[in-house]
Amino acid sequence: MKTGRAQIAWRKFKKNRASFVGGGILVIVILMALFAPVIAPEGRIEIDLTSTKLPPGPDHLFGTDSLGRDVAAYIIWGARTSLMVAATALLLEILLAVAVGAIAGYYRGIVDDILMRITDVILVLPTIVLLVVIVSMFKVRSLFLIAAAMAITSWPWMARVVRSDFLSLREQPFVEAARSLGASDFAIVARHILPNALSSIIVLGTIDIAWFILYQATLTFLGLGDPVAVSWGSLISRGRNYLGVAWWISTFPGLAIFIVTLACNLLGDGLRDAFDVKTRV
Amino acid sequence: MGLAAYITKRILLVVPTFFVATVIIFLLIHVAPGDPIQLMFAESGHPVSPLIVQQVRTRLGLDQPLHVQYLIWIGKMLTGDLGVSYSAQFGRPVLSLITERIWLTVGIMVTAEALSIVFALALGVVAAARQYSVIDNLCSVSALLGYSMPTFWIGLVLIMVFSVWLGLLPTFGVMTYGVEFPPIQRVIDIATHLILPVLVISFSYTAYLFRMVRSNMLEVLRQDYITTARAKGVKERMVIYKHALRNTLLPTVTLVGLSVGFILSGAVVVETVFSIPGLGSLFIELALKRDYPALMGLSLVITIMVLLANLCTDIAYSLIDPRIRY
Repeated sequence: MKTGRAQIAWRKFKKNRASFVGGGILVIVILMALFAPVIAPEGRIEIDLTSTKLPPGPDHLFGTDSLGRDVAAYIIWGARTSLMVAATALLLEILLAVAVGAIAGYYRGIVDDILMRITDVILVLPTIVLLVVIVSMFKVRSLFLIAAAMAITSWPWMARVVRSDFLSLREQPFVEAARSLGASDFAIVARHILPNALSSIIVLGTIDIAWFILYQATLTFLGLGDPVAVSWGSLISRGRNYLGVAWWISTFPGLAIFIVTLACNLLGDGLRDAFDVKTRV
Repeated sequence: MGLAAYITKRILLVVPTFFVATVIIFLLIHVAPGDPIQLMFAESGHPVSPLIVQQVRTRLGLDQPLHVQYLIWIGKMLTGDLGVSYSAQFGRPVLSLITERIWLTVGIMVTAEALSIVFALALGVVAAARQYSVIDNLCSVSALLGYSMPTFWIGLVLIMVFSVWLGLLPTFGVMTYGVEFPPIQRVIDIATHLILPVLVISFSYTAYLFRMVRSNMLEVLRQDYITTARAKGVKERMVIYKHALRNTLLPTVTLVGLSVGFILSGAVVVETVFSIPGLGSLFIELALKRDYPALMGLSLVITIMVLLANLCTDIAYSLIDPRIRY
């Protein structure tokens, strides 16, 4: 049954050219991030006060910033930071969401009520506001802290979707069969229900990567990111003071964020249609 | 259930949500590492004796157990005492800081919201009525692009183009300071300052709303009663604007209420980009200074704003669609 569903999904997914493009862009960006030292030697993102604010040209494809760093190279290294932080946040989010969603959907009753009330409240509060409150509590803001904060503010949505999957899956005959064979709760959840809820997690996770990239850039721009990390957000905010004389400093990293976010949204939309997942509960 | 009974029930349901929210805000700020008192004195840069630290701690009630502190805090909040900001620049009652700035933010939000609803509805309905036409594809692609752009970056690009290059609009603030204007010109002055911020917020929000309106409308157009109306020979225009649009409005109202948080997040970012002295930029200033009492008070006010908006949505929904009350 599992392969059957995956095959149907793949067949539908192949027809959607836009999501293919999205997936392709993401693969390229991931490769770029992995091979950053090869494509853009580290020397190009070191401070060089002899070549500040140079316009785009053959030597510096996207120009240089106010400290003489090559904008193109900085963007390639920034991709590393963005993807690493987004991946960490995603992993933490999935752990939280699956734990809460599984417990609420499988055991139901009062536990479910309490957990869902908490998700309600977090969903009501504006994400940026919650993120800023959490992050501002720390004097030293590491990339891990930012990833953790993004996971804490984003898990409720996924938890609700996982919960609703669990609510319907727990009534399925194959779960009944596993239970009558004496399988433990943990085995039923981990081996029988969770694999069937995976498609929702994949779809929501893909779209959340886009949000994580946007949020971390926004936090950095607001002055609440990791100040020493090589990131797209920090380059944009540095260029903010030179909009008139060096437009390229802010423009290109913003384009990078835009393209990666767009790619995630395209891929997420395609996966959603292919798996036929409801992202709204 | 009558309308009055329904509204009472909705209001009562907001109360527990409000209290859970206050507990979350309180805990977030109190379980964070670092001693707020040390921090407060560190800001001033002078050495302070441990005795004074202890006195201040007692005066602020920070030596009490956590649940007592929460009860004291929430009691004060409910009587309108949001505490005193302790960061150097403000040092004033939090409530007066907020009331001074709230109208600007609310004004920007309401304008952006109204603009977005009009555009999203008009474009969403037209796009859905002619699915896969040129106009539908154009709108859908633009919405996807708009949805994927970082808000603060759109702001910077617009400042660059309209203010720096073309010199048409001011770069920051709400008005030109230090110049006396007659009232009418002052209004125009403020309006030109706020065009870009409002546009930036409504741009990404319109993109988001458009996608929802379009998919809701498509869903309605697939219903049997639409087929019936068409089979009866009702003109297509009537089918779209009378039968389909009305039913699309229902889920859209809910959506608008639920996405007040979206607009508020936009306001926080955009006010910072354009240096507008509203609640959003206040929030970021307080966060950067780690001014806990003020930050807690402001977070609470933001929570109340969102909850009120949700409540109004529910009530509006029950007025439009009487079925919901039963």
